[in-house]
Amino acid sequence: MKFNFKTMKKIFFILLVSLNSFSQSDTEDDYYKIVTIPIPQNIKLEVGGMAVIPDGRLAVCTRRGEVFMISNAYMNQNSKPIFKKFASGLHEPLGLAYINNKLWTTQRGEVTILHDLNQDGIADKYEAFYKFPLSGNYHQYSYGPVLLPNGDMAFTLNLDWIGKGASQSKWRGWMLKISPEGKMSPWATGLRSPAGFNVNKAGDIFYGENQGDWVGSGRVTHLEKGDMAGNPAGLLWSQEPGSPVKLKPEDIPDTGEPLYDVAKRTPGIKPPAVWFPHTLMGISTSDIIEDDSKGKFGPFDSQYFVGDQGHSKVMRMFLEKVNGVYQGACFPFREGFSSGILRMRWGIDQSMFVGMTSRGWSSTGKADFGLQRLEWTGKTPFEIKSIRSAADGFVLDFTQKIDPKSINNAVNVEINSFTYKYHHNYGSPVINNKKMHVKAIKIADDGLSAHVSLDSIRLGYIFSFKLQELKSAEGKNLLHNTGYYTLNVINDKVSGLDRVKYAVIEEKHHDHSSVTMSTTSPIISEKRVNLIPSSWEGKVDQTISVSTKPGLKYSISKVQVKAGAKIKWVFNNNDDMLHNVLIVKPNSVTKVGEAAFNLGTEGETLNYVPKLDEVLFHTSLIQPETSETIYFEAPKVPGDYVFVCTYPGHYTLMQGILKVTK
Amino acid sequence: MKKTLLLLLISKCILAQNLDFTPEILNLNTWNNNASFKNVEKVDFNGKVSGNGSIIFSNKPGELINNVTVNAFRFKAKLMITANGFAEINFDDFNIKFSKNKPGILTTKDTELLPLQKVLKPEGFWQDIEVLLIPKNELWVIDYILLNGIAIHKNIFVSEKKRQLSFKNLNGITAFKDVSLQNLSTERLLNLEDLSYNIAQTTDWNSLKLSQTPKINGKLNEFTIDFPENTYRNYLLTYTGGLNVKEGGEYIFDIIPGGRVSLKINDRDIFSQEEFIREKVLSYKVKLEAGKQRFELTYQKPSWWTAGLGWTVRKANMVTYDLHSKGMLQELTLPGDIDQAIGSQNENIRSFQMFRGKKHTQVISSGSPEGYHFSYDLDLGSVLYFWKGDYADLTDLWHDRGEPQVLEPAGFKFENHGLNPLLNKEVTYKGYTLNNKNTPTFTYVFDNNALSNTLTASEEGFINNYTLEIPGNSELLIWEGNSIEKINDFTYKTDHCLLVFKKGTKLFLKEENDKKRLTTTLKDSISYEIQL
Repeated sequence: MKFNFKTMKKIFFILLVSLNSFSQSDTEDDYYKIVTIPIPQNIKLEVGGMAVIPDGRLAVCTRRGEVFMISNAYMNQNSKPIFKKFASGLHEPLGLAYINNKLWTTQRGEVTILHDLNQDGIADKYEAFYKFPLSGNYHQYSYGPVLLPNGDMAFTLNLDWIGKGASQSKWRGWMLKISPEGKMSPWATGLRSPAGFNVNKAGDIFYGENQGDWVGSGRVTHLEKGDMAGNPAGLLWSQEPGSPVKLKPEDIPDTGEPLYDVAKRTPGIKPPAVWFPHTLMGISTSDIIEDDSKGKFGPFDSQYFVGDQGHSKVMRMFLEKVNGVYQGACFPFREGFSSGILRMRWGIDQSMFVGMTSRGWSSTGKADFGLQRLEWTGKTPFEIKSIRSAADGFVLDFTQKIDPKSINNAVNVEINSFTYKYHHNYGSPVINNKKMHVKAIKIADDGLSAHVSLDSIRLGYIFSFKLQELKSAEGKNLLHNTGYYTLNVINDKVSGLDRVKYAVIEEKHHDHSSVTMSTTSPIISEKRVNLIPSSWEGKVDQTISVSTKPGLKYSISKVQVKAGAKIKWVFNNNDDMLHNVLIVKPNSVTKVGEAAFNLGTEGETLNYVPKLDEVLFHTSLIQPETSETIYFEAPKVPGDYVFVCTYPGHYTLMQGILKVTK
Repeated sequence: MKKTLLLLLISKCILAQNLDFTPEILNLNTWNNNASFKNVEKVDFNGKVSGNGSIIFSNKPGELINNVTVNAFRFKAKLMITANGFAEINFDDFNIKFSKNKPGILTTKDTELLPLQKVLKPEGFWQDIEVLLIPKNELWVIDYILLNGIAIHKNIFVSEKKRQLSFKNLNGITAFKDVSLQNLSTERLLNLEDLSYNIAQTTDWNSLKLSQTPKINGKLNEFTIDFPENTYRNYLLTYTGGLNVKEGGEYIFDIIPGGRVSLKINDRDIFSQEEFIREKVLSYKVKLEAGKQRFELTYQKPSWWTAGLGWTVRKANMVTYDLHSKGMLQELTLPGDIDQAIGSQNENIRSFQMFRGKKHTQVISSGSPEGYHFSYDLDLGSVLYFWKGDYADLTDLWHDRGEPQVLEPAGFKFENHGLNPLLNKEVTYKGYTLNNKNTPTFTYVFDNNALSNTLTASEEGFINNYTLEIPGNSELLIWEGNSIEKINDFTYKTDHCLLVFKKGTKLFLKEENDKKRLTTTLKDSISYEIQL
C-alpha cells in the first residue's frame, strides 16, 4: 500500500507540472481515494464484467472466461479479500449481472445463466439462454445484460473490425432487448464499440461509444427505439423483420459535415447527449453508472460516472433534459487507476468498484489488469458541479460558494466551441473551432452558480469551459477547471441576462475570434521530408521500416544508425488507431510528449508535433492502415535518440531508441 | 503480433506439410537379419500374421541391421507394437524406443529424454515415425522426431559420426513397414543467377495497372526486397533471371507473400495468387528439369503493408534452404506460448475452432487429466476433434487481442464426422452441466424430447454416453469414416480409433457416399468406449 501511495503521489506531481489543472494544494486524492483490491498472484483478473451481490460478495468475470466470487472485497479491518473460482471456460464474457439470484453472463456468442445446483459454490450448469450468430472476427464482442425496469434485458453487440467497422453477422452494431422468456427485439443501431451502457432512474438507456470510423470522438448517446447512433454498418439489417430502424446504409451521407447537421436532415440519426472530446477527456469511453447514492458518494447525486479504458480514469457526466432531449457536460473526475477501466459498479457501501484490463489496448495505468475501489473521503471538492443551457448561454453550478471577484472579467471564463467530422474515416480532427465571447455574468445570490451570457451560440457544438482564475469564497482553486458541454437544444426556460446590468470587462481583441481549423495533413515542415532529397542522388544508406503492434508499441524497439547516415524511414500504421513518429533528442521525450498533449484542441491539426528544437524529424499523424516515408540525415552527435508517437496518451509507451553511433 | 503470427505459421506449416514424394522404400531383405524378423503380408489387430509381403514382423527379441551408412537424412517408417511390445530404432549414436507407457524415449550418448508428448495410437494401429537429421554449422542436430505427426523431440544435438541403422524387437510383437531413408544433400540444388529487378508504381493499391511514374530497375547480387531508391507505396516488382537447377525433379517452393505473388518459369505460369495474402505460407509443387531455366517472379505490394517476400526451397533429398536474403521477412519475434495445463479436473474452454477450412464459432474444448481431449461444436452437438497428448495452445486466443480466437489442439488429433448425431433431426442446444470432475454433459431438445451427451475420459480414451429424456426410437450416428472394420462382436476399428461396445448393442454398418457409417437405434441410453 505504501508503495502504491508513493507512486500515486509521483503521478500527481507530474500531472501538476504538466497539465496545470490542479490547484497547488489539493489533489483528487484528497477527496476520492483509490483502494487496490489485492488479486491472488495466480489469477489473471482481466475484468470483463462485474456484479455486486446483495450478500456482500462481488462477482467478476474475466476475458479468459473465468468467474470469481470475491468475499470481503470491501476489505474490512484491512483484511484480505478471498477469491473463489465460480465458473470457467466461457468465451471472453464481457458482461455479468445478478438477476433473480442467478449470475447472467454474455459470452461472445451466447447469453448464459450460471447455476450452482448442488450449492457447493461452483457453477455446475451453464444454461444457454440466447445465442448470437458470429462471424469469427475477434472484434465481435458482446456485452450485457443490463436489467431494464420492465424485467427485459439489454445487450449490445460490437461491430467486426476488417480494416473498418463491419456487421458480418446479424445484429452486429445493435442494441437488443431480450425478455425473460427469451424473446429478442432489436432496439437501436449505429453502434460501433458499445462496451458500456446503462439505464437511468427515469428508465432511459445510454451507451458509451469509442472514437473510430464514423465516430469523431468518444461520446454518450441516449438510445431510443429505432435510433441510429452514427456508424452505419449495422444498417445492413435494418430491413429485417422486427427492426425498428428505417434508415438504409445508402441513406447516410459521407460528407464530413458535423453529425448534428447531418442528423437534422436525415431523420433517424441520433446525435450524442454528450461528446467526450478525444484526448482532452479520455480516449476510449467504457462503462457508465449513475450516482443514486443521495450524497453518499459526494456532491454529485444523480450525475453519471463514465470510465475510460485508455486513460485509466473515471470521468463525470451531468445530463439535463431540455424539451425531451438529453444533453449535458463532462468533466475530469479521477485519474490514476492501475489499468484500463472497462467496468464500474456501485458497492453496497456506495463506493465504486473499478474493474480493469489493458490486454490488446494499452492504458496509461500500466498493469495488465486490476481491481480497485474508489471511496469518497467525505470532503467536498471545489468543482464545477454542472453546466446547464440558458437562452443566452450557460449556467455553471459549483459545489462551493465562489468568490465573485474571480469571475468578473471575460478573460476569466475561456469558452470555445468546436465539433467533429461525421465521415467514414477513423476519428476526426477538431473542426470549426471558435472562441466565444462572454458579454455578461451574473452570480446567484447564494454564490453557488454563475450565469454566463455569450455573444452567440451554436447548436450541435461542444462548448469547452476553462476557469483558470476562479476561486471559491474560501480562496481555493477549482480541483478541475475544465468542462465540455454538448448543446443539442437551447433551454429558453432559463431566460437571458440583462447584458447591460451584468456586463463584464471585455477582453482585448487579438482577433483570433474565429479560427477555423484545417484538417490534419498535409503539414509542411523541413523536419518532414517525404521525397528523397535530390542531393542524395538516389542513394540511401539505411532503410528502416517501422510498423505498429497492438498495445501501443512499435514493431521495433531499437535501431542503430551511423551518425550522418542518409536514412529512409518507412512508418506503416497497421494498428486501428492514429499514430505518428517523432524523432527527438536524447532525454527530451517527456518534454515533447507533454508539449504535444498541451496542444489541446489544436493538437490534431498540428499532427501533435509541438514546435520544439528537441523535435528533429517527424511524420504526420497517419490513419490506420496507411504508411508514410520520411528521409533524413542521422544526427551528427552519437547518442540514444528516441522515436516516439506523441498522440495523447501514447508517448509513455509507444517509443523506441534510435541509437546513433560514430 | 501479425508478424509473430507469420513465423508461427511458418514453423507449423513446415512440420504439418508432408513433402509429397515417393519415398525410397528400403528393401529390408538385404539387411543383416539375425532371423527374428520375417516378411509377412498382413498383421491383424491381435498380432496374427498371414501371407508373405513387405511387412517386417518379429515376435521374439532380435535385431535387423542395415549395411549402409547415412549422413544428413530423413527417415520414415510405420511401426506396430502390441500391448506389451517394446521396439527400438537405432541410429548408432542415438536410438528411440517405443512402448505403450513410454512411447518415444530418445537415448543419445549424453542423455535420455522422455518424449515431449504421449501420442501413441492404440495397439493394432500403424504408428507414423519421422526423423530429420541435418547439419547445423559444425554440428549435427536431430531437427525433429515426429510420432504420428507430433514433435516428440525437437532440436537435439548429436555427434558427428556416420551412422548405421538398425531395428530391434525388445519384447512382444514388433512390425515395420514403408521404411524409407532419404539421404539429404546439403548442397543447394537450385540457385538464382543474373538477377535483375524492375519496379513500377501501380495506379491503385489493388490494381495491376501501372501508372506513368518512372520505373526503377537494376541488377542484383542477391534476392532482396530492400530498394532504398523506391518511394512508391503500391507497386509491382518484377524479378527476372536464371534458375540454375543442378538436379532435376520435384521441388516445393514455400512462398511467404506480403502481397500478391506470381511465378513464371520459361514463360510458363507456375502459380499466380489472386488475393493479397500475408501471415501464411503458400506451398507450390514444381517439376523442374536440370539445367538453366528463365524465371520471372512478380510481387505486388499493397500500399499499407510492409514489403516482405520469402522463398524457401524444399526437395525430398535435400536440406531445406531460403533463397531470399535474411532481411526479406523483417524482424520476427514469437510470443511465449499460453498453454492450458490440467490439474485433477477437466479444463473446459470455449473458443472458435477451425474445422475442414471453416471457422466454427460455438465450440467448447474439454481436456482431461487422463490425457484425452476433444473439441465439440455446441450447435451441431458433435465432436469436431479428438486428440491425445498435450491439451491446448491458447496463444491465438489470449495473446494480445487474440485475433484468431482459435484454440489449437496441442497433441495428436483426428477429425470426427462433424455431423449432428441425430442426423436429420433439428436439435437446439440448451447448455451443459458439469459433474465433480468438470466433465460436461451437453443437452439438446428436439421433437418434445431431450438428448444428453457425455464424453467421460477413461484409461484408453472416452466413454461416450447418449441418453434420451423420454425413451423413443432415434437413429443415432456412432461413427463415419473411410474404414470401419468389425474386429469382434464388441469392437470396431475405424481410421483412427477403436470403438468398444457393450454386449448386445445392435449396430448397423452401411456405406453412404463412399463412406462407412456405423449407427444404432437409440431407445433410452447407450454407452460405448472410444479408444484412441
